[in-house]
Amino acid sequence: MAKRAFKTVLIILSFLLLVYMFLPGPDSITDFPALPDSIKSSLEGDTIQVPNVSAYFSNNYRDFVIPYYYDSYKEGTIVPFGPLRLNYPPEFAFAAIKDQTHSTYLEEFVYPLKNSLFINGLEPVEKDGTPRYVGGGRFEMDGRFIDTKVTLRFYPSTLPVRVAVWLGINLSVIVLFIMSKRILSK
Amino acid sequence: MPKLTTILENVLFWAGVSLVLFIPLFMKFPLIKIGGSFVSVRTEDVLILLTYLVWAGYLVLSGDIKSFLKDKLNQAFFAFFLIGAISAFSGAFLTHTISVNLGILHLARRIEIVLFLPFFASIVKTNRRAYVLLGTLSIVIFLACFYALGQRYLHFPAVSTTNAELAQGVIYYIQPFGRIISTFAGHYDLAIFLVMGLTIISSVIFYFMQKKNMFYVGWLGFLGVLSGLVLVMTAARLSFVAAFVGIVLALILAGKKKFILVLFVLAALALAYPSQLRERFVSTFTVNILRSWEMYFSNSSTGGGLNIPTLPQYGPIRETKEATDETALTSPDIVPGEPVDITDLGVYRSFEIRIRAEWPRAIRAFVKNPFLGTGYSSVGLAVDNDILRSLGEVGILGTFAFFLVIYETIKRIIRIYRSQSGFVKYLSGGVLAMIFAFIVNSLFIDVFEASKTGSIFWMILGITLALGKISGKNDKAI
Repeated sequence: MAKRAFKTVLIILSFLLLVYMFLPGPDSITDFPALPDSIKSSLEGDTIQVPNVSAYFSNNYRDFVIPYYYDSYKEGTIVPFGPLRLNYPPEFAFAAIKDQTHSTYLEEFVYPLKNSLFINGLEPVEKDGTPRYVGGGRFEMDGRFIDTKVTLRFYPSTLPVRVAVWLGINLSVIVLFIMSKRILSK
Repeated sequence: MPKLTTILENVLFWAGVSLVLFIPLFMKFPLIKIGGSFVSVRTEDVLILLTYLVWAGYLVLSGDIKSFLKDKLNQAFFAFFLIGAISAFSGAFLTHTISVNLGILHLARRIEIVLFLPFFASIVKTNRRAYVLLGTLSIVIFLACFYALGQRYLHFPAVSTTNAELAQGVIYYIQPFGRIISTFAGHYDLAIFLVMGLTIISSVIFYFMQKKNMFYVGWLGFLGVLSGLVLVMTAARLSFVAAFVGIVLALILAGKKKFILVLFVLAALALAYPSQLRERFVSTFTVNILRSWEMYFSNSSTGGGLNIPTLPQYGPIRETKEATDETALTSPDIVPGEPVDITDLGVYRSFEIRIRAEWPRAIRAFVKNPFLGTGYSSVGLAVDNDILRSLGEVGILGTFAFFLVIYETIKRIIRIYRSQSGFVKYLSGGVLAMIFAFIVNSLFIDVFEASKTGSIFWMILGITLALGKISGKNDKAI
């Protein structure tokens, strides 16, 4: 009886996991909105050279940018909860965004087993204009002085890959279930 | 056909002996460079692959393949490999955290290392062969210690893989203040290897004492003292602690509890004698526990802004200064807030790197995919905690599969320890202590992934299981 109940619970959980992995969400970086009052970067590396990257110059700082993309990511999917938020050291921007990406903060929003969005910020000056590091100064774009640059990189996954991973997880659970019965039983 | 299998059995046995000698003693010279990593394919990888191919042929021809596949420990290994492969697929195509080639190569390296257990368990068919392998291991311990002392006193060369530059196979010489590594990749590798030897010797020596076989008592005693001495010279704190607790367990299992007091005295003497190890233990107490050190403050005016690693450095060019006795004692890359004392600085960084960079990296990987992790190679070359590393790389499922492997192995060795008498009992007691010390070490160092120490670990387990099986059969025959 308990064995059957356990199996039923596992099957239900597996089905729920499949539903979660199937729920639609953003497919590419174009599904994420631009920052308010921003200029989209057309610099090399911020457009087509690296897939799913876009960058914006604006006066929006981290305290605005992070909740803004958290909300837009959450609204872009019908999953009933928000993405997980992970904080990274800035030097990881070379790997997560693209090589030679300057950074003062780097965060990632993740829907585990689905996709994730990296948000890299470069804030050379404080809000009052004080340089944050030696040589730090505002950006000049189209005759305007701008405080920050935010670069986004989206890591999507295709449906077949998700299904394959879901099957892999199920196979692993079944194998471990059988093996643990054989090994852990007296 | 039986003749062919006998030939293959002999070939595999001598291949096993060669690997026992070659893997720990041949330095880590790269053979084929791998793009995107400073890990290389080395000569031993080719030898191991050839050996495994012959072994696979032997298993098929001898008909042992059926019993091999039915063995639940081997099945647990296959479950572990399967989940590793699924995790690599997920890492490459779902989370995009690894490249396909690096993921496959790292997975292959794990398989290569842990397969030593089933390999030795299946090729060792007689007691004599097991003794030859164990005797060879004792010679390897002696040669590794001899070479380590040679690096300190006779200017023997060293090859390390502790950074990208050295990993190219650069031959260098240990400086007077440097830590000896012998033929291993780093001092930590050598220390773990010695811990493995010491724990087993601490148990097995009592068997020979009981038998009054003074030759082996002398040889093992000499090896024990030599290994202990070299262990202190590596200045590896955690390995010293692991050796201590491992030997305590070995003595308990050997039924020689009163020798624990002697061990305490020896450990106290080792720590009382002025050495790098003692300095590092003192620093551990003051820096890591009391959080007290003399801080470095920069006098140069570089603006006082943030030091952001991804940004180019601007500001006034610093003038170089002539080295003085004072500046020579300070690390050239020290930053404000770090300890001035060179030993304190090493101890401080050793711990801070773990808690601020390596462990959070593994935890992030685990959070990204709790079931399967982000794939082998995704958390870098070092995490310095095997549990976190496993959770980050292969998630809960892979970690549980590995737990099953370890659990089943320990269960079998405990069974051997309980059912056998004589040499096999003492050996299995020592091996249980070795596993315990190895796991203690794995809390701060990636011991299971280090190819030399990992290989030797699984080899010893394989030989012990084979010996237990042979002795069990003999008992039944009697």
